[in-house]
Amino acid sequence: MDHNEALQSQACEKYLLGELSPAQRDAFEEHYFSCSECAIQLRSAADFLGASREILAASPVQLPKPNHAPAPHRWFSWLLRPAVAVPAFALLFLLIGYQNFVTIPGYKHAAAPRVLPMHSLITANTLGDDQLTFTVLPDQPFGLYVDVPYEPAYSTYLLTLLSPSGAATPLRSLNAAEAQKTQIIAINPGRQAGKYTIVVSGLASSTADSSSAKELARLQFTVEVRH
Amino acid sequence: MQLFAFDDSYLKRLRDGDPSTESHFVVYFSQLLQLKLRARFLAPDAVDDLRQETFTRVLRSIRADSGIREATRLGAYVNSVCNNVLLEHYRAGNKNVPLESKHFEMPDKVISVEKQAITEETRATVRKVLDQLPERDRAILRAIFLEEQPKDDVCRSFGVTRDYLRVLIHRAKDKFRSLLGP
Repeated sequence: MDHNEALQSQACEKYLLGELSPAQRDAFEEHYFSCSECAIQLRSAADFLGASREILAASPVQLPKPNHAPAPHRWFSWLLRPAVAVPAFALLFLLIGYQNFVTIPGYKHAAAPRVLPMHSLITANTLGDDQLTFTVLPDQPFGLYVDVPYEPAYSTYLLTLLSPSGAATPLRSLNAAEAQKTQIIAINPGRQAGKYTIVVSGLASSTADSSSAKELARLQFTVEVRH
Repeated sequence: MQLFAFDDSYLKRLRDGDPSTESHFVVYFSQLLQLKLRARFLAPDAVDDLRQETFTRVLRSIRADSGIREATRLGAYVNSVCNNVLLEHYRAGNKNVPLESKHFEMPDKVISVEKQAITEETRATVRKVLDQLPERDRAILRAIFLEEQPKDDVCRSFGVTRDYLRVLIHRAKDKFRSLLGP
């Protein structure tokens, strides 16, 4: 635990109220033994509470004034009548059953972790190699390992996807450091089979206009959709 | 309390047995160790014993040739020695000593004049802070720290949340510190 974490989590107050888990308590103790500011905070709070206990014990007992909520107006008490409550609960149970057996399993299925099929464009020929063909299921995204042709003259690299219909979709912008590493790009061809191209363009500076980008490479691949 | 920096010079003075540094070291860490040990619901006698044992081991280590030499790690070192002492205490089978409520009210065995003066000053300041609190907040503090009522019950009874308790303590502590001065 560092100082900011201790402050943000109100660790001092929680510690004195006994609200920290054993692990959090140990972490806070490790911190305040080394952090003079937290040690002072803790000391002050402990001194204040210790002396308060003494003073409050010596002061005449006052009747606590709990914030008792006033008796609620019973405007909705008719809801509790059996004629209304029984059908309402039946409907509620139906709703819960539908959620448990239909809605939630659907969400679980949708949210289940899936492994992204991966293909590589590292060997793609920038002059237009149409040998790379990836077979995917309809609407199934896949990942591509891509090596960007790095040139010191360019500090920013733009990756654009051209679909078989010719539509251009910006994929990613990379800085020079990123461009020197293999990148993973997720592509979702949907149901559109055909020849795709990733166009790599270079910009001399990150603030330069994208229209001034120079095309550095075209990485082509073909997608076959297996129905 | 006089403020010292935990630097190499401090560590050297401690190693050399400088009385004022040693006294500062014990005062500074005593309360921290007490808070740590009390958080384990140990009886005051056990707290005193473990605190003494921690100081003995730390000072012995500081004065040993192979002892701690990194001044910035002093606090962490005291904490870890206390952890070891605590573990040994648990292993010795003393962990089930029941804590009686009267233990909380037991006065310190040794009260120095200086400490008495600080306590009076502290008490006066705390009284001032308490006087400035709304009556409900005072009642909440009384319920939790004096009557030791379950916190959830107190929250329910006063219509406040746990967050409110923390904020109440935080504000009171800050007010106390500002009135007490540096």
